[in-house]
Order: sequence, then structure tokens, then C-alpha cells
Amino acid sequence: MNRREFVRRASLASCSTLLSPLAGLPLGAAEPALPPVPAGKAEHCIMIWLGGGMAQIDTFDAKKIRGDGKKVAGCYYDTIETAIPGALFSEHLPNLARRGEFLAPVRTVHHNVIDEHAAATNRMHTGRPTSGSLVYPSIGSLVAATKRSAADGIPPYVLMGYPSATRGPGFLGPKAGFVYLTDTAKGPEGLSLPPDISTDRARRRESLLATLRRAAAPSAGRDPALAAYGEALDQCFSLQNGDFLKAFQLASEKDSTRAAFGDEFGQRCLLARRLIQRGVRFIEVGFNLNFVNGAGWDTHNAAQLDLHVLIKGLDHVLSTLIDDLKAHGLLEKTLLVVSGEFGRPAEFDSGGGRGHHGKCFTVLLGGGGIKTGQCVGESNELAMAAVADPVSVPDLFATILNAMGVDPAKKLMDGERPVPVTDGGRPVRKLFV
Amino acid sequence: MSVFGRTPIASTCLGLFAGVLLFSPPPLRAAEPPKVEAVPAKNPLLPPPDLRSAPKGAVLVEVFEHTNRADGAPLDWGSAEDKNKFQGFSPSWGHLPPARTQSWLQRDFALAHLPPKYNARGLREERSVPFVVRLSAMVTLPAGTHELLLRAIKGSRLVVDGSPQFSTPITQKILGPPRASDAEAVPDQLALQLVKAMALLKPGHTETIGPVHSDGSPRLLSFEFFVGGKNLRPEPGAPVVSLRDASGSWSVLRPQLDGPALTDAAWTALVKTQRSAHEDMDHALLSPAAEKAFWDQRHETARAALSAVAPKHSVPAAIPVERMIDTLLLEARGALPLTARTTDAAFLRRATFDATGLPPSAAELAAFLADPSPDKRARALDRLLAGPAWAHQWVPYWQDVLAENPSILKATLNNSGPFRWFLYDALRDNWPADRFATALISMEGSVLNGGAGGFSTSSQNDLPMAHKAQILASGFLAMEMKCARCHDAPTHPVEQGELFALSAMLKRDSFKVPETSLTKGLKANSHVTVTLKAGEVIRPEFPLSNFAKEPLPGALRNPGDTREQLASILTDPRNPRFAQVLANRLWKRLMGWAFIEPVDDWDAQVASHPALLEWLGRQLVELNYDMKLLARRIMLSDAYQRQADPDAFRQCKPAERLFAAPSRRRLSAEQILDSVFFMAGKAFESEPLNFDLDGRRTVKDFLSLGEPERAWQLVGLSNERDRPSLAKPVAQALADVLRVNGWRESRAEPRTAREDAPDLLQPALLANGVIGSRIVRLSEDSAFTALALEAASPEAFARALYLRVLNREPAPQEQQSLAEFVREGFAGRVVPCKESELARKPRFTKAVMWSNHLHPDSTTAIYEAEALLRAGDPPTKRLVPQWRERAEDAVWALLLTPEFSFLP
Repeated sequence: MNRREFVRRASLASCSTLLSPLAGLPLGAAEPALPPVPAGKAEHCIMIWLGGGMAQIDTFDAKKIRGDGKKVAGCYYDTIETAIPGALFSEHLPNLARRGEFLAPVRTVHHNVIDEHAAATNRMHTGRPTSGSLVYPSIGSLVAATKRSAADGIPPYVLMGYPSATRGPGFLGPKAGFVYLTDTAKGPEGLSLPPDISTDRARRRESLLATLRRAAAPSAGRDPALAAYGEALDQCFSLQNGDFLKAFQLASEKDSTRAAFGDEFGQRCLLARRLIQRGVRFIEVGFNLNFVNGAGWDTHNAAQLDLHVLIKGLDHVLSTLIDDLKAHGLLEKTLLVVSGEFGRPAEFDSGGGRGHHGKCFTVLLGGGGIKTGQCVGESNELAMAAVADPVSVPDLFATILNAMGVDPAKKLMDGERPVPVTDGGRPVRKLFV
Repeated sequence: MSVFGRTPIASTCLGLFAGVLLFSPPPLRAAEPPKVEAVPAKNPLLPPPDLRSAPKGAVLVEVFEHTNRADGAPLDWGSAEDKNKFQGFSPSWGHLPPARTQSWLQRDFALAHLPPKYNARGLREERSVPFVVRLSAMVTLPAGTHELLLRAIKGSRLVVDGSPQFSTPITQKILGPPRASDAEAVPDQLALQLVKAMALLKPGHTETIGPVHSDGSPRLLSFEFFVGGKNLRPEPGAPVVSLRDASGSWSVLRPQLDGPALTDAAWTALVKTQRSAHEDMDHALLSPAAEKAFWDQRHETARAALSAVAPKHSVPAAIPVERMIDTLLLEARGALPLTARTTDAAFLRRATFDATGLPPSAAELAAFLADPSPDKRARALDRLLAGPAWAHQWVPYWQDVLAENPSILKATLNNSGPFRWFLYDALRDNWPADRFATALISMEGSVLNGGAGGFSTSSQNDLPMAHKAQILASGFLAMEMKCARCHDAPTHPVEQGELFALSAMLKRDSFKVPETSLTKGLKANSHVTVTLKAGEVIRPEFPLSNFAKEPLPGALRNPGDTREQLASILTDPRNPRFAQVLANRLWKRLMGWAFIEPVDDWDAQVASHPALLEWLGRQLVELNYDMKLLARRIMLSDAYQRQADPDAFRQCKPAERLFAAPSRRRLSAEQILDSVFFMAGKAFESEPLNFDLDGRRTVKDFLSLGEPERAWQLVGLSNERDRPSLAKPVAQALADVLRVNGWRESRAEPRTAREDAPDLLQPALLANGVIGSRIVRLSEDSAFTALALEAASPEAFARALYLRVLNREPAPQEQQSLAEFVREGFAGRVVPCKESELARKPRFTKAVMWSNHLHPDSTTAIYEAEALLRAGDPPTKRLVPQWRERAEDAVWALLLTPEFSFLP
């Protein structure tokens, strides 16, 4: 509209870069002349967030070296072969092991923020270090801002978990924010009717509101600001009364389907598929029910003892989701990401659990039309350091965005300042070529 | 209800006591120097209280701190930011802090609110670690043996005539995570407490019941308790002495034995009474005489200096100041069709929001409409601007502009301290703008417990002071230096070295450029340049030309202090930028558009009304930098008082900004949240914004921001761990309403203009969210229930709703439509109901906090709390349910009308 937009255009041409003083960027670095990585074709993304930080050596980067839960470092479980040549999973992931052709474990993701969950969670949601001068958008908001939703009037980004600034839109503002829920039975905050309001009563209210708006029309009708708010109000009701909210009626699925998905985490994943069917672009599914073992995936000390319960839950639900997406013809279009704030070391702490480890850990990708059935990167014998093909956080983000057809160098505007969607990240080539 | 009142509730007795301040910190130190010892002594007893000047029925409250400095000031207890600073002592009855630093009078043997400690400049500062509070009075108990109950979060004891009687334990053991196996079970506080028919025991508190024998003569009773301890957050908790009377019920102990029964409601009332008394008492401490004299002198000098600088733009000489705004606007715009003057109702709604952040009450509106006098608008403005409520309207603004960004859990996301309390103090005391800026820039006082020191930190930032310099530049100079943080700004005339020189002034020292602050890998032909070299020394010098840098006489108290120098240059009347930036900001808030847009970045912009902007800037100096007086001047103009101009909504180019009338303005996020609760007469009833309820952790990792009562007191809820047991369902629901309306839960960067484009989630949360449901629910405590019970007819009810929600009379068509809707069943709507039959809110008695959140029970407890919230406030029993639902729908519909979310 105005000056901001004007400067925006002007400075797109001039202020070319980059903003993070902390990251050495590869700008202008001499690179081998490879053809550009082709853009992916995924239309949706489901990111399963394992809050606390999953132990890679106990899951998707399992090693034959057995640890004893005390002094001897190593895998806490037996390993099993997978459908991915050369890749071992832990024994509690049999279903995913069989579905390896749809998976691509990225085993060498790394960053340096391990002392505090919030900062690491921020890094793994925004792909950036926290900056002195800017609040970066989460990956969900980046997708929301660049791809919008796949159907008119549908929120592009749905969060199943607790809101935080880290999961928010940062400088992109509320438009790129999420609709969220913390309980599938209750639906999204603000869009599902309160428990005591029947649909009849909702109609009655809306009709009264319409009457009062008409009665007020002579004084308010011409005002564009009021009119714009009125449109938002109308959108709210049409969303509420339209197809979108039907996604949350899980009861309309077959009993066998609901049962196959199982617990609340499973129901979240089932809901994710239903949302994709209605055009939602990005869904973050939190899976950190900390009461299972005390600490969720943050398996310090005794929380390690029942880690297998969480792993089995992940195995069951994610396999079910993969089968379900496949059956609906959605797996090729839906990128799956299983991520967390960091990994965990092969060593044990004094309480028999595991601390934090960021130098090398696994993020699992799947579906989405990328070249699955292979691993990216190779870690050492204890899954704690990259031996080949380290993948930086910006590269991981570039891979996710590229899989969704978003140019990792695309710039979004913070006021008049162009900010690239990734911090100089480059997609992992072998997942696309 | 009273939370939102614009005038503090006057409690007869406390109002009196609050005025009888015996001593406040600075005078005390001068008059009564504490014992000075190099090594803190072992003190078995505190010095005896002096009750000679205490009126009958008063309890003397005294604060004792550790000290080892000759001037009696406490040790540098430090910010807890710096691990090397002294971390304090462990509480022990054998090691009592000797120096009395604060005292006041009150009525109850209970500390429901702890007033802050202020330094000589009126800034909140830390007390020693730990400190002791003592409550003393002469009490005459009837002859016989009595039972007294003590409650406290740290050690407390009852002392009678100088002899300790019984105590609660000093708990120091730190339990809980990181070891999940150590997590404690979630206590049911009701099960823990000794007496069930009593206010709920607060988390982490302990109790003791002990006997006191009386022969019927007056005895000196003292209740002493520790606050904080080594490496512990200074959590005062809810200490109280309760007396069991002959009938067996327990009341709050008062010297004249006339205390109320110790119930949850009584405690809530006590919190309000004490806080309100303390806020009255604070005014003397916020502007001590010496501080006030200094600023009066500075303003005199400033006005003299201003008169020596000729304005660039001449203004008509014969026009009185009251007419100047409209005269200059008219000059610039020429003849133009004007919108009509607002109705009285519209004016009052607009002005009340602008001055207090809330709508007018029904009573205020009725009185205003009935007032026939011609100057009633001016008098209404005087009334609205007089009180401290101005702070509620402006704290959130400065939180945005100054990037106030605290975290209640392990701050690692570029967080500042919670300097919201400094903002609140300065604004409720209406500090002049130059003093406000100077105090902020001084960064003095508490870092983590609410002082201006909180502005000094940026967690995980390699150059916090560069961040602060950038914030100050955009806030007070409308200079955008964000780009200069990493390289010379390509679109602004700012070099990185200039930002860094300002940073050095804030740092009070030269520094070497860290390599991490320089952009690397730039191409040779890049438009972005880096002229600094890593390791280059940056000196603390004011870098901008066109500023008078030599201070006016008497402007500096510590001439060598570069922070003071910086503040003085910024606020110097010969440098017009500061005053004009503030005038422009104020104009924007009141009129919808500013003379120069954006208000935080003036580079390459022209003013739409340069003469008026200059005049307003000079007025601010003439008015002794008093922002309220400048606001009053604007609000009295015809331009402010005309009906909103719908076409001004899209105007943007300076030449198109005519200011014939304000543009249509949306309510801010804070105004929406505060006003819906105000309308319904309800309180937030939020969880405390604190994970460390039992006071077992360090303030470095766990801030307490208290129980929020106004929207600006909320904060991002820091559940990045995504743990159900760390959720705060009520606070989350409140924050959701704010977030969708443009509030930022992370304010790492300064920002003035909020994203306020309409979004469907804004009405959605009011329509269907748990907060919207609470607001429209006609519960026993709802103000709408009272309206429904009182209304004489459906038409009267409809009118009352319009007045309450939209602050105006309904048009006939509107009134008729709404009356028709509530007519069915109106006559038989009331159900006779005894007090004892009224609906009661369920009591939630479990306490989930950091030390037990890894226990499985804590997740269950949070789910229970969520279920209670979702069920909403229990509906009133005094109305027939079917009719009540109709009335609720009527409230709902008015709340959702677009008009509600806008200023008229």
C-alpha cells in the first residue's frame, strides 16, 4: 500500500541479505557447479514433534553396541534390520522397519543448543539461532505464509499441542499463525462450539446477531474498518458451519479406523489426515505425553526405563498413519517429519537415563514424494558424531521447504527488510535427484 | 470488579494508616543508622518494635535486611544474572538480618501484599537475601489459653513480649526435577491443611498451631518470617496468623480481635486492600522530594533553554493554546466538509478508553449524559486523566516499543527482565517523559524482580547493549538501527559504528567489536557494507551530528556517567527530536494516524503538519514533559472530538492526512480482554504466572509475574517443552485472546505498529472460546445477572445491555429487536433463591508446579483444571434456565457486533 511497500520493493533489489551474524553463511562461496535441486511436489506436511528430544541410538539410528544403563555406553535395546539397506532401528520399531521404503532417516542433523529446551525447540522450529533483532517464524508459519491453504477459507496451519512463541508466526504476524487444540475430543480453540451450546442455540445466536447488525447498519454500514471486521465474522461462521469443522468429527470415521490409530496421539494423527483432506497445509502434532514415563522424550534418569512404551507408541501410530495416507492416496503428497529439539548421547547419566546431545541426531522424513528408502548421513559407532554428510539445521529446513515446492532462498518481508525463509540452507540433494 | 476500578477502594482504617508512614527507606537510613558490622553477627532477636506512635488497632510491619556497608545499604545482592555475585545466606533464627529498612502500618497480622522497595530515584530495588518481615502490635487476649495458627512459606515464628513461642519450619530442601523419579506427588492442599474450614493453604506453605496464655493484660505480639534464601527466589508467600475464637472458628488476627474469618474470599479481599494501600503509600516513594526537586529544576532550565531556540515554523501569535491545534489543522487543510461532533456517549467511550484502557461504567456514562454543563467534556477529561489508570493504557504500549520480554521459565530467548513494573510505577505516578527516559536508560534497580534494571538484559545475545541502543533509537528518536546491528544499514543512513557508539555509552565503557557481530561472506559488489573490523575499539561517544551535546547547567548528576549523558542529550530541549517523536506517538494513538509514519522510523519521511508537530513538541517541554497534559490538549481539540472519519481508514500519504477527525480505531488486544471482563464484572482468576509456586528455585530460572489482573500483566507461557503438566489453562485462554488480536508473546524486537488486520480467530475466540463463554455466562457474580434481575421490562433490559456493552443508547429498532428476543419468559424469569442456595464455583485444591510436574498426577490435575475451565462459571440459580440462556445470547450477540471491537 504505502511507504512500507514501496521501500519493500526498492530494498528487495538492494538489501540482499541475511541477517544472522552468528551463522557463517555460504554466500558467494565457490560451489561445484551442480544443477539446482529440483523442487519437490509435496502439498502438505505433518510434523510429529517429540518434545524433550528423542534418543536417536534407541530409535532410528540404533547401533549394535549395547549399553547397560550404567557405565557402558550404547543402544539400550536390541536392533532390527529394516527395509532400508544398511539401516538399523531398535527392536521397538518393527512396523516402521518394515515400511522403510517410505522413510528417510536424516541421521546427522546437528546444532549447538543443548543446555535449554526452549532455545533448542526454537532452533528446531525456526531453523535459526535466536537473533537480537527479529523474531523468526516457525516452519509451520513459513509454510502458511508461502503456500497458504489448499482450499479457500481453510486455516493453513494447525497445531495439536501447546501454543508458544516458538511455534508462532514471528515477524509474519497473526495471519501466518496457527489454529490449535490440545485435545482432539474438544476441537480447535474458538472454532468448535462450547460444550453447552447446541447447534440450534448457535443458530439462534447467529440469527440475533444478524438482526442487530442489520439494525445498526444505517450508522455503521459505510465504514470500511467495521465492514472488514464484519467479513472476518462471517468467515468465522462459515468456517464453523462448513466442511472444515467436520474434520474434527472423528466419530464419523469407521470404528476400525479409529481403533487402529489407538490412543490420543493416534487420534491426533488421524485428525491430521482429515485436515489434509480439507486443505490444511501444515500440521504439527505434539507427542509428549509426559505421564507415560515421567518425562516424555526427555529421558533423563529413570525416565529411560519406560522409554520403550513411547517408542512402541510412535511405531504403531506412525505406521498406521503411513498406511492410512497411502490408502487415501495422500502419502506421495504429504511430507512426514518426526523431529525434536535435539538428540541424546549413547552414554547414561548417573540415574540410568540420557542427557542432551546436539552434535548429531536423527530427524525422520517420510512420504511427500521425496526419495525415501534411504538414509541421509552416517553417524559414528555410538550415533554421536557425523561420519559422513552432516546436515545442518538450515539444510534440514531447506529440505523440508524444497520438498513442499518452496524455494529455500525465497525472501519474506519483515517490514522493509527481506528475510530468506532459511538461513542459507541447501536441500539434501539425494532426496530429490 | 474493583480490580478494574479507576479509583482504589478506600478502606477507612487502612486509608488512615497508609498515611501515617512512620518511615520509608531513605529517611530511615539517615535518621536511624543500622548497626554496622564487617561480619554479620549472630542475632538471636530483632531489635524491639517501637509502637509508641502507632494508633490503636494498628499492626506495625517492619522489613529487616542483612547489611555490611557503612551507609546501611544492603550488600550488592545482585541480579542473579551474575553468578559471581553474592548469593545470600540461608535463613536461620540464629542469624537475623539487623538493619530495619522499611516499615508501615496496617490492620491485620497477615502480609497479603509486599510493597516493593524503592531507591532514592523511585526505582524498585532488591532486598537482601534473605530478609525478614515482622508484624507487631499490642494485643489483649481475654484471660485464658488461646490457640493461634501460623502459616508461612519459609520459617516463621510467634514472639510474645520478646520471647519466641512457636514456629513453622525453615524448609530449604530442593526437590523435584530434573530427576523424574524425585518428582513429588501432587498435594491436595485441602488434605494437607490443619484446619479444613479455612482459606486454602498455599503451595509450599507450612502451618503450626500453638498456645498463647493470657492473663487479660496487653501483650506485645510479633509475627516474624523469612523471605527468600540462598539461591532462592524471594517469595513472600501468604503469611498469616489466625486466632481460634470461642466458637471454634478461625479469624485473621487483629489487635482488637475483630478480624474476618480466614476464608478464600477474605484473603482475596485482603490482597486488594493491602495492595491498594501500598500503592497509595508508594507515591511518596516513587517521587521523593529530592528527586522531584531535581526534575522541577531541570524543567525550569529546559523551558528557559527552549525559549532561546526559535521555532522553525511560526504559529499565529494571537491564538490561545487551547485553539492552536484546530487552527493549525484548518490552516493546512483549508475548508473541508467535516464530520459531525461526536455524541456525548461516543465521546465518553472514546476518551475513557484512551485515558484508562477501559470503557466507562454505566454509572459514569449516566452521570455524564445527565450533566447539562457546557464544560463537561473538559471536566470528564480531567477526571479520567487524574488517576493511575493511565498506566494500564500505556504500559502495554511501552512493553511493545521497549521490547519488554521476560520469560517465566529459564530465559534463553533474548529475554529482558520484567521491567513492566518499572513502567507501571513510572506511568501511574505520571513521571515526566524526560525522567521516564532517564530512569530507563539508567537501568538501575532490580533486574529480575521488576526494576529498570530489567531493561539491561538480553539473554543469549552477544551484545545486549547494542540491542538496547537499537530499542532506544527507535523508541525515542524514531531512528531504525536494526540493520546496523550486523552491518551498515543499506536503506538507512546509519553505520554500524554509530549504533555501537551508543552501545558503548550504555555499557559505560569502550569495547572491542566481537567477530560474531559482523556479517561475513559479503560479496564484493554487495549493497550491504561492513566498515567495522573485529577487535576495533568502540568508544562511548554520542555519534549523531545535529545534536547539542554539551549538557544544560545542572542536567547531570554524575557528569562522568555516559548513560546519564546519553539520556541528557536525548531529552535536551534544544534537540527537538525526542519531544516531537513522543508528540507524534501520542497523536497517532489518539487520532489513528501520525504526522510522520511510521512513528518509529522517520528516515526520509516528511511530516504532514510540520508546524503543528513542532508546536506540540515544544508544548511538551512547556508542560514540563507531562504526557497527560499534552494528551489533554489534544483530546480537547475539535479534531479529536469529531465522529470518526470512515474515509480516513485508508489514508496514508502525508498530503492526504488532514485530521479533520480521528480515523476509525480498533480496540487493542489488551483493551478487548480487559473490557470484556470489566463489562461482565468478573476477574481473570488466572493461575499465577510462575512455575515455582513453592519458592524452591532461583529467580534466575523462575520469575514470578504474579496473578494477572490486567491484560498487560500476561506473558508468553513458556511451554516449549509441550508438557501437559506445565500448561496453565486459564492464562493460556487469556493469552490466546490477546495473541489473535495482535499481542506478541515474544517481544524480543521493539515494535510499535501491531498487525491489526481483521482475522476470523478474533471474533471466533469471543464467540466460542472459553473466555467468551465465561463473559456471557450469567453466573452469580456476573454484572449481567444483576442487570437481568433488576430490569423492569424487556425494553429496559435491552437498553441496559446496550449501555453496558456498547456504551450508548440503542436506536429504537435495535432496542425493539433485542427486547423482542428476551420477551419470552421475561415475566417469570426470577427464581426466588436463598443465599445458601446460590451456585458455587468448584474449588480446585491441587497445586501443580515445577517441583511436581513430572509426577503423573500433575498431568491429571491439569486435565481436571482444564475441564473446570471448559465447564465455565456455574450459571446463576436466580434465573429460569431457559430465559437465562436467552439473556446470555443477547449479551453474546452484542459482544460480537463489529461495533464492540472499535472506538466510536
